[in-house]
Amino acid sequence: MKINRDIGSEITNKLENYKSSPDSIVWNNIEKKLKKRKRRLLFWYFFSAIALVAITLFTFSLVESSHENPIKSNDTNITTSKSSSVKKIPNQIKTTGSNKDSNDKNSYDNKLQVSENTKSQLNSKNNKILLNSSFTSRNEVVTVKKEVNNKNENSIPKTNQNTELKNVSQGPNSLKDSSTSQKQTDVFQKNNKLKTQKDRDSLTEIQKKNSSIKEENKIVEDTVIQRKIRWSINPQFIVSKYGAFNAKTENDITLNYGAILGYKISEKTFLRFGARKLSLRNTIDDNENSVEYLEIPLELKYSMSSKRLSPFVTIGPSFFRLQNDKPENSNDIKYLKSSLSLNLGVGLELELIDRLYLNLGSNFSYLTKSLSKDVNYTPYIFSINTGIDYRF
Amino acid sequence: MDLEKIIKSCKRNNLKAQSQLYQKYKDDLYVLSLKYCSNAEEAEDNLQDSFLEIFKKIKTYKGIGSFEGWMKRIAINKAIDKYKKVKPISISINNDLLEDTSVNAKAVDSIPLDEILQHVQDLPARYRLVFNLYEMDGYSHKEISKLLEISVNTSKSNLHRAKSILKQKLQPSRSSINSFESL
Repeated sequence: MKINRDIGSEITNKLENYKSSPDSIVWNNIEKKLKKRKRRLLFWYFFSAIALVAITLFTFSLVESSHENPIKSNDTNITTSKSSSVKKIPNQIKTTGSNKDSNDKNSYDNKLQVSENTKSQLNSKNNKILLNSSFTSRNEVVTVKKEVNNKNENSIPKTNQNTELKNVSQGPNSLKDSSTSQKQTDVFQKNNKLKTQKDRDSLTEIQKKNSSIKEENKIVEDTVIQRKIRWSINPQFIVSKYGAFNAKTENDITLNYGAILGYKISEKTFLRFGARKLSLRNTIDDNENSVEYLEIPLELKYSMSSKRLSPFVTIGPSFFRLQNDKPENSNDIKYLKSSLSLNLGVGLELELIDRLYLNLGSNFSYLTKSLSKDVNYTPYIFSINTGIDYRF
Repeated sequence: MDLEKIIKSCKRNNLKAQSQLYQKYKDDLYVLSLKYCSNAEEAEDNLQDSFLEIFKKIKTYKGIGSFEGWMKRIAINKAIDKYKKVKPISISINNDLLEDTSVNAKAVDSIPLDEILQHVQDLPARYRLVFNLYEMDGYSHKEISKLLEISVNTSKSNLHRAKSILKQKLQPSRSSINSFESL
């Protein structure tokens, strides 16, 4: 007996009982991709966390620096007033004389010459202006010097100053009298001549002082910048050897990564902390061990010099947290969830550009706990790391 | 471990739970992929992509509706995505297609499952998708038209053509059965 059915439903019914299994390679591929995805996620979580910490610290340091601003702004004012005063000197000299030479000293000398050559025509008013202006110039520099150095010895010698002050105080008075008395005029002109000689000496001295002020300015600016740099961030690539003290290891080199954040606690010392993602492996007695740790180091870094290329040492403990609880191992060892290590490292850092350093370092980590309760060997990690250290 | 716990662990990206979930459903999703793809290799690719998508999106599964159905939809969508990526330029239309798409149930019963599956896999990609979606997974023509971005009529026509092709392919087998029966 023929039973006709729709081919669609007939095939559907038949294929409902169809059984088949995929090749095992499918799961292997899925597993690989899942691990890769997990690693990528961890990497992004880690760097997001680092970025967040860096931003927070940067904001904190900005807030901190804004609290310090009153002091710093005083410093800046000093610097500004110094430089502006220094710049003012030639301008003021220029305004007093007719000579327009760009060279300050020459212009000043020329003016003095002019005033000397026209002795007979010299009237008290001009003289007064010249004396006052030249004195004002010196006086400003003296004031600046006092502010910067808080020292009187950097100012113009007292004897000169007193003499000049005397001259100036006498000048206007004498000039008033000289309009009626030629003798008094001659005395004043003689004094004036003496004064111009002193002015020349003072100018040379002022110029010397100017250059020293400029140097001081630079030192002050550098100090202000140095004072601002507090933090450093150092992403690094690490080649790690996962060895053991009382066992022979093979196949124990892996490539890892991490980032360290540093806080400057003194001129040459940084307190550093961070995280390193370590995928470690080794083979001991044909047993393959493969562990993934998150290392959180806390260390002191001491730079041994302030030169462009400087050696440094690091010392401190690390906390290790086991990341993968199902490593691909050829044994059934139950790995400890956490461990501690003592670290000692040496390295070199090279200042590439302002605030950017290239690091090359080596580090030895002695793990205080063994890899597992099931094994009796004590592991260590020897690593070579390199990275860029940015300071802010 | 029961399914709920597995799902919970999968949401935490636990590799062990992911492996368990895969082991539990790999065969079902593989068979589904075999129906929607043109060969075993493609089906394995589809299965792999489907599970990766499942593990990625498992956090969005709120426990409403069947979890198996949710996974199947992902696998079907993956197959459709693949079809859309490599859309066939044209489908040759055979005008000699049969009007009647009914077959003798006994004749189909006698055909090995592998052979039937092979015939389904040999269908032109769009016919295969429409046939599977409509016949095997209960989608309506409206839903199919949305999924495949075709008209409802095209969906209906594609289904009819798919059935006609399948009937033609199964015909020799049926003839042999008929001749066997007549003996």
